[in-house]
Amino acid sequence: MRLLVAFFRQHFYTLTAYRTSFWMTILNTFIKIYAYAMLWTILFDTKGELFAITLPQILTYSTASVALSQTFTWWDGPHIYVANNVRKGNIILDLFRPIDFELHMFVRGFSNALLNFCLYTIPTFLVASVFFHVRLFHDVHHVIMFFVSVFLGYLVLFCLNFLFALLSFITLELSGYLHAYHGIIAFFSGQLIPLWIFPGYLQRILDVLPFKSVFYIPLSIFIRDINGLNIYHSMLFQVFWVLILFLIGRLLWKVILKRTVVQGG
Amino acid sequence: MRGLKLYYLYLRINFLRALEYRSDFFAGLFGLIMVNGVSLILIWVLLEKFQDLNGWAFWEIVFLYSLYLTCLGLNNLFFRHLINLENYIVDGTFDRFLVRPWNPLFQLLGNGVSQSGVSDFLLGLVGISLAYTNLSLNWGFIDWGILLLYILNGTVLFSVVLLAISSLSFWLIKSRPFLYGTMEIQESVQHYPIDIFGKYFKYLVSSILPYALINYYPTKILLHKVTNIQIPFYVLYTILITVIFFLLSTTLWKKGINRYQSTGS
Amino acid sequence: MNPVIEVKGLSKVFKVYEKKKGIVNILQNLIFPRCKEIVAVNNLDFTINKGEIVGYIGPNGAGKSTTIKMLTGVLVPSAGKLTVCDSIPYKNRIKNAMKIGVVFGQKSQLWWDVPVIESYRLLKELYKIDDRQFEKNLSLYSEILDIKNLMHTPVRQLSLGQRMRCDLAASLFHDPEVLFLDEPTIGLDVGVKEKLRAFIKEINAEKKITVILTTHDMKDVEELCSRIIIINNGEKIYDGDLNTVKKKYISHRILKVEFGNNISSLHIPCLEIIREEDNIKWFRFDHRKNSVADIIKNLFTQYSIIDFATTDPGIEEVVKKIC
Ligand SMILES: Nc1ncnc2c1ncn2[C@@H]1O[C@H](COP(=O)(O)OP(=O)(O)OP(=O)(O)O)[C@@H](O)[C@H]1O
Ligand SMILES: [Mg+2]
Repeated sequence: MRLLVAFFRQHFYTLTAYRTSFWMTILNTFIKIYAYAMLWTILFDTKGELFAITLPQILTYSTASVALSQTFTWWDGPHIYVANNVRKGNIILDLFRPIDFELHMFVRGFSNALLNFCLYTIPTFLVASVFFHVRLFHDVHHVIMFFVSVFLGYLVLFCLNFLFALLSFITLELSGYLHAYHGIIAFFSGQLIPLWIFPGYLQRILDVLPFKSVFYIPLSIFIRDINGLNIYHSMLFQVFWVLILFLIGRLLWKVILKRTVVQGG
Repeated sequence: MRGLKLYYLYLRINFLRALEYRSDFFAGLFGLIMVNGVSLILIWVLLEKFQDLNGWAFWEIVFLYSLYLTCLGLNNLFFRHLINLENYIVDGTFDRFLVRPWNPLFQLLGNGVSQSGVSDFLLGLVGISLAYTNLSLNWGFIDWGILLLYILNGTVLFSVVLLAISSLSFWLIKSRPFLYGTMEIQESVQHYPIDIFGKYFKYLVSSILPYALINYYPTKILLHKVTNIQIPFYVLYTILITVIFFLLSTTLWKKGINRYQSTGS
Repeated sequence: MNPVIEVKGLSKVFKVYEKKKGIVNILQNLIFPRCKEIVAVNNLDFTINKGEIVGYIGPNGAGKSTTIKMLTGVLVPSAGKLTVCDSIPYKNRIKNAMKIGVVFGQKSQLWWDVPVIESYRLLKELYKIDDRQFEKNLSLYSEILDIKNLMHTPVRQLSLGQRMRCDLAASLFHDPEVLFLDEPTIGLDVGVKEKLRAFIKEINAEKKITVILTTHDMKDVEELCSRIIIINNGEKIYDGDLNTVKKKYISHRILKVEFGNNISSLHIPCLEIIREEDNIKWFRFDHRKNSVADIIKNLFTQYSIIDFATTDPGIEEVVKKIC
């Protein structure tokens, strides 16, 4: 917990040291929110009958998704940290720290995500919601469910990022794959388009993959496209994938650690 | 003449350097294929469901997208490293540029070529060819001429906008955030026909941030979405804006050099 | 005498953003950044003639590098006039660059990842040096600086001393009229320093190259410079030859004496002990009030003495005293 606070402070200082970066990120977020809102409005106006949900719902979905993207980052996280340190050759320092490596990565990543959530996601969403008349929370239960689901979504993303980070122990070079990874997340997670727009066969595949836990489930809970008992089902799905991915990560990490230490890094 | 020779010698010495740090070209190419592939597949998914986007069919959007990518690739290849100006200012390397008897701008440009540009450029050309076949186009001499003109113009326009943004480093040190600040606008222009974003957005990207001149207008011309009488007007307007930006960015650059503060060591 | 460099009323003011600690200040800075001004160089005047070697000295942050940067055309002055070889550096950068050589001790001008000789070849084209001149200088410099067998090593693999020698040579292929050296000896060992000094002396004598040198090593100054300019807080406080300034500001000398036996106390009042090591002792005395001859005579009559020597305190003392 102390560590979390320490990292949080550190991230806060770095983030605020670059004033222009901060405002540009905010600006970008608004532009993206605007662009997607316009896109959905046009599509809804011309082919409204193809939507399973209302216009305010889809606007809320896309606005929240863009805002949440600042928290659920693919351009920052354990994979980037590991890749950089592997390249610089000082990852070995991290292996001998008196703290579990994955926990260290988690605290580092989570504190950053929390900061981004407070400084980017919430403010941009609140401001945008004024302009787009998006629907906010209905009741306390809904609020809690949404935040729990976001947290679970973050855990899934973290586990995925961590698995991807392990890749750079093997390949020693991440930049090429990073784009591919980004593509997969953006495409499969419902970040850009809600999953029900995909053709049926793709939907069936995406339904069983972990990616939809990251954006699609929390956002659908938020816009009340997932209701009642289905909320619990979806969350179970998220929990299930967190466990699975976590175990895979642990296993792989053991193997890689052995290999790295034996090679002497 | 001397300029060309020096440019060649600069590239040569940087090529020798690049040989020392070879990064994986194919991993990079794979990554770019994934990113662009995913972007297009998402549009395909949308259009599969909604048939057309404000009157634009899938392959028309592929054309729009690829034309942008082609210019981006050429720009990245030759001009991308303009944005490194801020690094050179921060670490004091720019002092060196100023005490050498060659225009500092050319020294900056001579500092390398970005290989990712090659991938972008090639992917762009592939995309244009695919769109050409799928749209069963049959261009005459003039159409090809217009395409070529717009590719060249687009590359120049990209580079002068980039130069203008990079020159801000002389005042603010960090100029990358401003480039990133235009990223979402660029993406929107690249991915979608801009008229879906409303008229203010259209004015914006046709004048102050003229990214639409790179792909939107030429695509309208080449896919016969405008009347023949409008074409000369479009072409002239594009060239006018490019010239204005050229003058603007070179002026900024010159003013910036006189404003240059160096570093304190 | 024809002046190579003329400086009149030269000033440079930097604008920097203020950084403050504390959450409130940081959040406030996100919205209203605050600026402040730093006067690095203030109203400077001097003239430097052809063939001089001038030591430009002062404590850290005095404004030395800033002056050099203005003279080389890197920075545009905030006020004042300056000409270098009859042109204004920041207005005619390219013309000026052809006539000057610059070494920034902290940064290399060579391309980091390629062999030294590749950098030299590129410089040859940049400075439009013809083959004869290039070959001549290459063999001359590699001879004196002893860098012949470094030519094919990438710069990043060179040691600091080797790199410095290569850098110095690089700044001289085009036979500049003025050579600016900003801390050329920083971080080097004594041997390399001597080599560099010998080299600078030689090219100054042979090619009549004017040299401006900033340094914190006063031996550089004492061995090379006939004239020094001292600045502090951006203002000039002395300009003239080395001995005059020493005479003016230094009222004492150091006397080193090696005694034949260990002595516990000394009965010569004008000697102030400053250091001792076994039988060797160092004293300080005011040479304007007491004659050296008297002191020595006194010493010899009272004690057994093996060896003695008097020295000037270095120019460091002067700088310390003035600034
Ligand atoms: N680019 C810059 N931006 C802001 N302030 C600067 C800059 N360059 C120098 N300064 C400030 O101007 C003053 C003079 O700096 P300068 O580098 O000229 O000193 P110097 O005499 O070369 O010192 P040193 O012996 O440490 O090299 C210092 O207070 C420094 O902080
Ligand atoms: Mg200095």
